[in-house]
Amino acid sequence: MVAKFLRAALTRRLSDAADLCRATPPESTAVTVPVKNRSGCTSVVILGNGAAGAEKQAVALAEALGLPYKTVRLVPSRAAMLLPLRAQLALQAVFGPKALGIEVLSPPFPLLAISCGRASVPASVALREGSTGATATVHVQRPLCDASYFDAVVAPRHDYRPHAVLPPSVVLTDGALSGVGAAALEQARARWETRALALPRPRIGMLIGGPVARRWWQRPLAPALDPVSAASLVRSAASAASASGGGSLILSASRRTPADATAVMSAELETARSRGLGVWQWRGEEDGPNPYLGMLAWSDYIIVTPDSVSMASEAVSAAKPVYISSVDGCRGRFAAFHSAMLASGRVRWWPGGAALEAPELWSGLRGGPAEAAVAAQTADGCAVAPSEGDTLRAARRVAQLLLARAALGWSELNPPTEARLRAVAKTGARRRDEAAGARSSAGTRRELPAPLPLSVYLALSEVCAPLLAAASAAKAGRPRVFAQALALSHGEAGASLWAGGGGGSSGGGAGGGPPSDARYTLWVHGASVGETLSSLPLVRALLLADSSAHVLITASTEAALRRLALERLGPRVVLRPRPVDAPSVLRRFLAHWRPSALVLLESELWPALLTEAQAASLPVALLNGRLSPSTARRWLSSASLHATLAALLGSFDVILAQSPPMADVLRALADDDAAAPAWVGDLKQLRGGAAPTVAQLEALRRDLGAPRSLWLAASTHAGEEEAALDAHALLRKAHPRLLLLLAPRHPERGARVAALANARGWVTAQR
Amino acid sequence: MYVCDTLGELEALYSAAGVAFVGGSLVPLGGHNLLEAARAAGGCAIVHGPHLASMREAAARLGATEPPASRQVDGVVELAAAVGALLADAGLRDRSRAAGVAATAELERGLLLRVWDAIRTPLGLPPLQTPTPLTGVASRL
Repeated sequence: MVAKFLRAALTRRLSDAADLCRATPPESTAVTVPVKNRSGCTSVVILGNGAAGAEKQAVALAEALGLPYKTVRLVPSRAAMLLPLRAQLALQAVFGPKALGIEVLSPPFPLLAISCGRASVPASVALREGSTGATATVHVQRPLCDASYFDAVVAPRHDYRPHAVLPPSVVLTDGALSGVGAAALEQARARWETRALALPRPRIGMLIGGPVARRWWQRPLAPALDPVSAASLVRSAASAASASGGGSLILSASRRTPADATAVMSAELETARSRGLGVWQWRGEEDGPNPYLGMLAWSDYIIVTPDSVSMASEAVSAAKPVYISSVDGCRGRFAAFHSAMLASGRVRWWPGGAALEAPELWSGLRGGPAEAAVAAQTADGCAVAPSEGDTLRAARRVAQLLLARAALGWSELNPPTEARLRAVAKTGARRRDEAAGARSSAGTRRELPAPLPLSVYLALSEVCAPLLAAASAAKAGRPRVFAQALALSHGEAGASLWAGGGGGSSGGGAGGGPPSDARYTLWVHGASVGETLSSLPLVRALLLADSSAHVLITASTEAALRRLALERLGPRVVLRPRPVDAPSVLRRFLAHWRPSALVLLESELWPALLTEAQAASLPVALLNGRLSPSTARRWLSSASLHATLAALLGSFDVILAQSPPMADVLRALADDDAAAPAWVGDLKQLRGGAAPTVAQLEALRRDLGAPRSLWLAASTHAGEEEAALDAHALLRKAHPRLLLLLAPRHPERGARVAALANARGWVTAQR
Repeated sequence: MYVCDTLGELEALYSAAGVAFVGGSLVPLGGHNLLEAARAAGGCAIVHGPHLASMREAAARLGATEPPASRQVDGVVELAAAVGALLADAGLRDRSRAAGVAATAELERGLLLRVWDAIRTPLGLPPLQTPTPLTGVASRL
């Protein structure tokens, strides 16, 4: 009953996709064709709200991803607009999406939904839940609800308070996303060449906005464009052109521009024409197709009114000197946007009437003082303008997210889609690479406080350090170890816990530190036998490359230290148990061993260790990095866990994943300003432990009754043992005395495998 | 028939057998370490299934030697045929084993170099010495 009432009141109308074609400039490539991918579903769905400014950004993101998309427009009823978004989401959580008139269709679900505007939020949330995660959701611009309702949010920095602590799923941009990339501009330049070449230079482009739609009781965020200021803007541009000895005025008004302002500006342009200046104006559809991009491409200077973030962003992307016509009277996000753009030097304030300033005065432009900065941001040698950089960066983060979700089995990518996403995931400059650039990357995440779970962990571990040491010693079941572990937690970091652990590798001796002649000490830590053994090729290579280098290997299990002790690593390798993960213990441990660098293996992401290593400026590498799929899913879908993991991954100087899919997952989990996780190969494929000795081989051959002919089925799993036994039956026809050695991957399955063989009539022996 | 459920003996088994099927590859588990088999003392001629997601580079290199150090099969009949051919021709088996040892040394060196290059600058490591003995004790065999 309640649901029925709500549904009647709040239903969203789906309007025709053709609307969008009318809403966007005809020249843009945003014609929405519902293309299907191989699995039969459209890859990307844009959930629009009808506001061209927002939808254009969603389209720019979809186009930067290069995946087929279609647009669905959601026009909510008046009642839905009156109800706060949070209330709508609460209703939806209780009564289901149908209460809001949203129906989630059956699979196949799209890979990605890009929503923009508050009307689209309930549908996006419903799709994310209804598809049980098959569809990733991205919201463009700051949503009026918590960011955790989406898999990612792409929003401009000026929409948030400075230094706000944001979850890693929020991708911050400098301006609005735009599809105005180098390619689109080049196309427009060719298309409008004849028109533009008739205009003498310098060509001054004016992009005119209009009042910002707000509720009547709210003060506008930007001053309204009245006829007087409109006229004075055109007049001042004309006098600036005249001051340079003639030129042209180009004017593009938007749908929002008030009619009286347009009329006054047209009259002023006529005056300018009569004084010999070139004029190119577009008033609306009656003047033919919108030459907006052509105007951007052919203008030498661009003046933008302060009431449009997206036009200013587009002008900046066009890599032109950009003026803001007046910044007085702007408030809120507009004021923040302008001050950031003015501070970066990429935009200047229109001085009105004075002579045009040389393009060299703008930072971030080719030929300007910050050319090096532009070069730093270029990909493949072509300049990337900041706003295009924004779009590429957002697209890259979304592509990384989609690849990680596919690696974790949430969705499936067909080969062309995967290839496309891989290409996008490599484009654009990363924040970390840009740090030295002209645009100040003030407030990057690294300077932000640690996420709450991390701070809590660090505080608790400090308090519990003695208990943790006792617990690990109790697990080892040795009172002597218990005493020493306790001593360790109190700072005698050098105490050798396992007498046997020294073996041939006694190193610094009991209680000793690194020898004084150690110029380079590498600390390697792995959880257990497999991990630490996999590091030995690197350890041996280091010992060989630098005859004074020392290596400290720590492990969390006693078995690992016992196994390593058999490896004859020599006197320059020291084996120790892992120090308790508490800040003060690690500070003492680091002060004692003075390592030059730290290598962590696989999933050893110890928070206190990483925090202390960073505090001590110790370079840290994660090798063969991996997370179990279930862990990765959990961390990726919870904002606070994701933030914690991103902070941990951010303390590494280099991250190498164990496998390509794991690299995809780590890339999506790591922040944009962290070291980029890469995959170069699996260390475990190298020989870790020593090869068997001649004596061992001889003994084995004797046991097997060599020289009898034999073959081996190694590392087998269920299904493969049957295949091996059947193949063996076939082989015995030609080789009657043939022996099969069957070595299942998991030794605990030995008895079951033997039973399987017996059931087929083979005589088995286990060794 | 022996069922070998001892840990840490695999490399010796590869060495003693000289012909081995490497698992995790007939069922879609990505394949187990082919290099471990190929580098065993004296080498080991390898037969594996089609599922080698995590071993693509190694499988391609080992399969491209002359004669091939590894052979891909699918199903029981092909498995028996490939193993049978290696058992029947001792010359072919020995050449396959030797080819595998040579290709593995190169693959291992390449992998170690790639890892070293990736971590060398950030960790301040010295340049790698070439040639690097990767094999520990086995180099004496």
